[in-house]
Amino acid sequence: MQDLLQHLINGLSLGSIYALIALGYTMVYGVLQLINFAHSEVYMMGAFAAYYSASALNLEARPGVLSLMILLFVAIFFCSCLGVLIEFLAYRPLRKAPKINVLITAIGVSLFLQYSAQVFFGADPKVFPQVLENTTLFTFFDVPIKSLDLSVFVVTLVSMILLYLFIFFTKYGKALRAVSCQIQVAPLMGISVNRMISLTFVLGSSLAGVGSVLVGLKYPKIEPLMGLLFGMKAFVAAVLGGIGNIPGAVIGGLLMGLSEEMVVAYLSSTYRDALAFGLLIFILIFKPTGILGKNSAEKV
Amino acid sequence: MPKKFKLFFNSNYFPLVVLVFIGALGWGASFALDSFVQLLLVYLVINMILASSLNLINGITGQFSLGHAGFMAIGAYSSAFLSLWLNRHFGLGENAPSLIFIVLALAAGASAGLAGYLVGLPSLRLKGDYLAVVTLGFSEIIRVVIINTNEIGGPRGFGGFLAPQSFLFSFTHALFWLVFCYFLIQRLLKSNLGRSFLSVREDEIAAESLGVDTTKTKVRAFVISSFFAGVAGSLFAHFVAYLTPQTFSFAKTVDIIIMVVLGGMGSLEGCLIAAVIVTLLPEALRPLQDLTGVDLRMLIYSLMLILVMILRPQGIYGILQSFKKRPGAK
Amino acid sequence: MNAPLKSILEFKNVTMSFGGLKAVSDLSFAVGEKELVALIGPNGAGKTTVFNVMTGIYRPQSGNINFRNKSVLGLKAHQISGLGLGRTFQNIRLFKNLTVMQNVLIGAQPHFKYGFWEPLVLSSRFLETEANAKKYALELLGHFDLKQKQDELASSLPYGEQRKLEMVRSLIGMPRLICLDEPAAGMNHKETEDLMNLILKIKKDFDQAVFLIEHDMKLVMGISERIVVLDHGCCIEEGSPEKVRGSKAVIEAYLGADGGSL
Repeated sequence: MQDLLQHLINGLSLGSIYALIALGYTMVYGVLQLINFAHSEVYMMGAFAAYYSASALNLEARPGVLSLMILLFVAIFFCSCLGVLIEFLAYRPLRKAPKINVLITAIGVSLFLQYSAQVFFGADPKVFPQVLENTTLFTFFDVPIKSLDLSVFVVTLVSMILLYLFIFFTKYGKALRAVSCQIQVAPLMGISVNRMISLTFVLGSSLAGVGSVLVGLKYPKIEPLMGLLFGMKAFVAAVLGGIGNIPGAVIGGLLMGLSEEMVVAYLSSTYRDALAFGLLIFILIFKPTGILGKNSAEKV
Repeated sequence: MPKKFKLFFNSNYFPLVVLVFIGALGWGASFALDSFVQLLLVYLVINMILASSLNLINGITGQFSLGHAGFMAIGAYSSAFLSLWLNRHFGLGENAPSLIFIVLALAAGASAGLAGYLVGLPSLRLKGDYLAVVTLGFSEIIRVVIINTNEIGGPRGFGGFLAPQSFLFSFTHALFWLVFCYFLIQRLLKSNLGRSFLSVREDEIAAESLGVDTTKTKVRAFVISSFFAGVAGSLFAHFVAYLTPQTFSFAKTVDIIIMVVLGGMGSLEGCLIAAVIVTLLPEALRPLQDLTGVDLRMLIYSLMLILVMILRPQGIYGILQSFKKRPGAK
Repeated sequence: MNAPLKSILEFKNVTMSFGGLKAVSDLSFAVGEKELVALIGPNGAGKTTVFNVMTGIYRPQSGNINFRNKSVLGLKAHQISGLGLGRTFQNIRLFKNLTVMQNVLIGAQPHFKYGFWEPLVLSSRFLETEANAKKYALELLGHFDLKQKQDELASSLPYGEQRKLEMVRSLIGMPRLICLDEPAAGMNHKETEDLMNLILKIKKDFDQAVFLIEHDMKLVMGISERIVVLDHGCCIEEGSPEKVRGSKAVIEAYLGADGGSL
């Protein structure tokens, strides 16, 4: 029982990070119908931005909430700039091109970032600075609740609430939903589609930035290829929840984290990475629209 | 007979010229050149098979697979394992008859084709980009499975299986499969099945309304494509005589994707030319790479993907076409 | 109601709704063998949905659709096509990057019965089948004045010819019933007139049933043998052009309760 509870906590903690990344995939897919392969590299770059600013500011010497906030801010800022830049340089010129061409470009951008990172940062893993002390805050049914896990929860929860408020209670959020609902009609309502697409990338990439810092804290090893597999799993989480659906991405991410943790705990860690794809094929066969997704037939 | 000849080549002798040229190079190389050039030539032919077969899915049928390295791995490992088994039971040893490698290539193709069927059936029912993710995931799973299977060497690599002794045989064998693969696809395009592939790329709903079973058509393209990826894997395995899981990573798939994209998606001839470029580029870059100590190859490839898509989505094929159609030229 | 004696297509109490919206509700009608029937109705009456449920693109929630005395519910679109139901699309769906000839040959699915290897070995059955299919395709293209354009890309044809090509593509599969979805959309007066003659010619030369969705009243009244009028997903009138022309329900549906004249 105590074991199970511990695994649940680990799974939820991992799952909430998946959810953060999955949100980026799902939002871009909702607007552009594009699997943004470069999203996982935005996340990887965020981790490096945080890493270098932490060592520049020597934050490891002063662990605490303030240092965490600074890192989060740096990562968010850097990732949103990168996300917008990618959209502007690589995707915008292809707005009218076939979908497959945009997909290839996305893969190109993803590879380009991966290998540039290897050139600039080196291929060896780096240890992410621990800007937060991992102490046991209290115990819950004999399970120690660590400060790291708790801060992962809190930060994720706060970002999701902010995202929710933004999308459902602001003018920009409404415009964003309009674009994602009917990209052809939105401009007739005076919405600048390009600006909304950039905004989507800002939001998605910011969440990836948050996710990258949290991953750095929880699994303190960062490397240029860290995004590849993690991103794929987050994408599967987005499909699981129903691609294009924001609450779906959160549910999918949590489920993904939990099931991965359970597989590692009770089956074998070698199947850890196979799980995501097994899951994906399973969803595609039995419920291709995901948990919350709607069935959308092509209009004839 | 000449009429049939013309029909078969569809009055386009460029690929024939390319293939004869490569053949001449290879047969010349078998006694004149050093082993490095021989190696490159076999790699070139294998890459051409891989590119032509991926082109069938990504270019002609308009789907998007990112798992070609995975199917190649299945072919390579199953062929290597089978040859080991045959050797153990029949004691073929060093002087294994050449015929055995053709059988092995067929078996490798069949097992990759079967894997293609199993992966394709669920994912091809749906339209769009899911196939990309499923196939990418699939090829990663294959790699994980290989790494975790000790019978085929696990992460250390797999060797000690049968390998043909003569370069001439390896080369001719590979060339045979390339000719087969290329002309099968070329001829299919002039048949009902080939036109169905194209109709799926162009408009699935219209194709269905005309009686084309789009799911079946996609699965067929996928199986044919995986078959040849498996054959290429078998050729590769027995030529290098040693396999490691890293060979079949995502980077290998990217290599092949580059050939298809650079050649111009859907263009058979473009693929062949692009395969030459992609095979030789790393060698041309080697001095620069040694100088800078940077893996330039992948940087260039990824930039190429982006730039081709933005500036010249028709690739080399499109450029050739625009020369042909220049005003004044016939 | 004057339902045809021997019907090729029958709708029985078909209902199709999207979310809360009933696009087609409890609709019943029939199209007879070799009959030319038109389906008309104001915008949003559910006409295209009728086409989409019978060609297998959507599946209705209730009711039954029989084509040649066989239920098509649950069949895939290509299976229904294989039963002999051809169609065109409101917003032309040609294979744009393929040639006119390739477009037509893709429509000729039922004609090709050779094996996988035959194209590679150039078997005589393959060569004959292809040659015959091409000959027939040329004949049909000639019928529609498209013969000279066989090697052009479909996307390069002018609008009217694209419409015609779509019909040829569907006709070459020898359907028993051909469904035309707003064939006159975007055409001017002269083109519409030519189209009228063309449709009559199709019906006569190919001796088959035609089911037509159309907005253009002149076209519909001029050529239809029977008209089914749809409004809000329900059949509000059915019968000869004369009967429909005089129907009060139809006038109200089109022009509002105040009336007017068609």
